[in-house]
Amino acid sequence: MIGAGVALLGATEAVAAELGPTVARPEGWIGTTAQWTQGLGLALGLINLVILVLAWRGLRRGGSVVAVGGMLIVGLTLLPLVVTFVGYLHGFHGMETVQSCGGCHVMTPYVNDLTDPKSEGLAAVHYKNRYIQENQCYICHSDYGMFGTAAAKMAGVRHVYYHVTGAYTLPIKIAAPYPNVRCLGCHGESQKFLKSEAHGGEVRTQLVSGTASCLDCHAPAHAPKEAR
Amino acid sequence: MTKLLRLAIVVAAAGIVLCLWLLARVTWYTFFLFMVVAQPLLLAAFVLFAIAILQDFARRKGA
Repeated sequence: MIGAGVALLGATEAVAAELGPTVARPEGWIGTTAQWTQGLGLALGLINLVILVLAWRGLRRGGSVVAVGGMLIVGLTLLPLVVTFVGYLHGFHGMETVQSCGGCHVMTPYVNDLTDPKSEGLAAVHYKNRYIQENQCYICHSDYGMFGTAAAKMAGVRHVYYHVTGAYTLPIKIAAPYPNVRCLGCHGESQKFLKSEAHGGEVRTQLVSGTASCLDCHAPAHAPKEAR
Repeated sequence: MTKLLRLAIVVAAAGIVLCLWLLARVTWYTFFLFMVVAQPLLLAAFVLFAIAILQDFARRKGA
């Protein structure tokens, strides 16, 4: 049992390594919560399948429904609920990665620029210096709070729809002006920002109110090679 | 009733396979399939199961 658990953890680590950065972040000897969630989900899903197969065979052999009733209750109601819940947990977490955002070919130039150490785009500077540790696309393109997360997920589903149906034009453009609050959420209270003369007085008021954009001075956010 | 239960098992198995695909590899495509296909399949399996149980109850009551 323990061996199976270790093997499962190894398998999930292999998948995580495939998706993750080239230099692994420190995570301790026992793996991350995400890896355990993934392993648990895979294990429960496989158990669910085994139970369904056993129930099928029970019915096929002419066994009474009462005899396989327990398996049906577990396999058709309880375990699917748990697997779906774990799927949500793992899916939401996994969709926040840069690899996931770059999954659509239309985003490839932007992800290539983001991860290019030679790029001087604002996003690339944040990425190469690890100002943001992980999930860089998601962190900068989602608003704060629970509704910010929900809105980002809904926008993501909409993007998939556009991608699948081809309902977009190139070059793609950001749907709405980039709000300063996403920059100020991290930089707003930093000493570098507060002590900067360029950010003082009227400028700070304008930045906080949103009448001036951070990108007015700090553009371009992205500088994909195709556009350079 | 057995046919309904078998159908429920097949539908649930298809839904679980899509869940496993998402758990093995998260992409927008697998998550989209999970949201749009897997969950309705699992719900359909549950509904079929519930119908089979209700039919069984009705049959026993009639007997």
